[in-house]
Amino acid sequence: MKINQKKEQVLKILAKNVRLLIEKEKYDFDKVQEIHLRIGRELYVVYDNKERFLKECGECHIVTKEEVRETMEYISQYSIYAYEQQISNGFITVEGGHRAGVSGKVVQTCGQIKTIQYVSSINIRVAHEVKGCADKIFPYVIQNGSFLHTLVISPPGCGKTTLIRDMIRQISDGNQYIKGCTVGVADERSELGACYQGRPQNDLGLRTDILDCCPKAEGVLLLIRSMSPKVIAVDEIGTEDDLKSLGYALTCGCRLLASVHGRNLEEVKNKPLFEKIIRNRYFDRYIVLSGEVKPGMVKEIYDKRGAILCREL
Amino acid sequence: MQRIIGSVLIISATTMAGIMYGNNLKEYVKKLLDIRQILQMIQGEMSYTTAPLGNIFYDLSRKVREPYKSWLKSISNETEKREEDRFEKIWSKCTDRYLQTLYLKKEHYLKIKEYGIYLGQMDKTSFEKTSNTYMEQMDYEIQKLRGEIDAKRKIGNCIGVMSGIFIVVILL
Repeated sequence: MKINQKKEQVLKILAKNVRLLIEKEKYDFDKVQEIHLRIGRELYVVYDNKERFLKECGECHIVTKEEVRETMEYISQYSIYAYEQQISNGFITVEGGHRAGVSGKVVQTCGQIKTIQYVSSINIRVAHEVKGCADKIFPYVIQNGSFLHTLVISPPGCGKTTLIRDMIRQISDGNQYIKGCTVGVADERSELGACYQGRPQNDLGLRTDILDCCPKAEGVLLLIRSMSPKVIAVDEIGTEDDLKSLGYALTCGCRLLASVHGRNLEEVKNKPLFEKIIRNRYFDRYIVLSGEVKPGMVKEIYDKRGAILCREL
Repeated sequence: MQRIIGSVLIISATTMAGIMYGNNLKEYVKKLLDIRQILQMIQGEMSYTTAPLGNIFYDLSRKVREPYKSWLKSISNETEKREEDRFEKIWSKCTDRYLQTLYLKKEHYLKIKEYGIYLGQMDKTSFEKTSNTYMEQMDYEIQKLRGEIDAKRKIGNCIGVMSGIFIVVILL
């Protein structure tokens, strides 16, 4: 994505006042990570891992209720009703794959979050694809030209989604280790493809089919029935239904790529749901990530018996 | 002979004027019906596809004729630009730009502009309820006009013929 295009996509969803303030700063949009708007609080941008407060006439700009309302209008294209489901998940994906996280008063119906009313803060997270971040992993997850069932284990915010996204792209397009093949992605929270109006905004490769906003368990079955994928990819598995559907995918001859929250293999083994799948060796490879030094750093790669294949890639 | 021809021409012209008046009334109801249908289509698309307004207007613009086509397309374009802070401003601006050529009565014109306030601002269920009430009001207006139209057309035709005869009598 070109920087100008990224800048345009982000600026056009901001209230006009905020737009002007950010334009004045002449930021390099490849380094802009987040833009925070909270009613009655200072407007700031996370730029190159540092917070920068935006100033107007020498003083920090305080975000008004009107600015948050206006930003919501632009984010939702004046169509809040069209984004009810996304809002109930806490964010809206906009053109370019950027995400606007929202918080405010949660409205519940029958114990389920229906929507968020009175939005009081918005966090715009600028999308940055890291193409090639999975390059070092491929020698460990391919055997005889075939992809091995792989589970990525990582604490939140350590780059597991970014890593899986790049793996999907390379499996789909093909690289020096694997011939390109069809990949089915059940993207329940629109994190992998960052779909905007059904079109993935992130490059997931030419042979990838995405079911956007679809529950993983149903999505996996749908993809198997309709798209005949060679590899099935899902992010953040965690429920019994997710695991059942992955078990079904295994019996259909599909290869699996999935991720789960955890600090190491031991911790995942101790989760009641995962104990069985690790014991039954559903997965051939376990990739453990760590964000201690930098996001996306591979701490360890294990084989299906739990033997370490490599450390700190 | 010239007098007879002149008289016939005058009576024909005034009769035609009377008929045209009646047709204009009929045409006026047709315009309101067209707009009502478009608003109904917007409501249907919003409920069924839950697509954003810009997409709905763009899709509908391909299904209707002018001036509604340009009207809906311009709303779609303006929505994409995100230059107005509220959707009702876009609706009002584009309605002024494209629907003024329909020469609607002020009350009907304002009624159409009012619809923009409801679009996009509510959840689906609330919008459907509000929109249904709006449609009922519009139906009532159309029914009222239809009731009046037959009587007005007959009066128009009679006045056309009668005024022609009256002019002829005066001239003779």
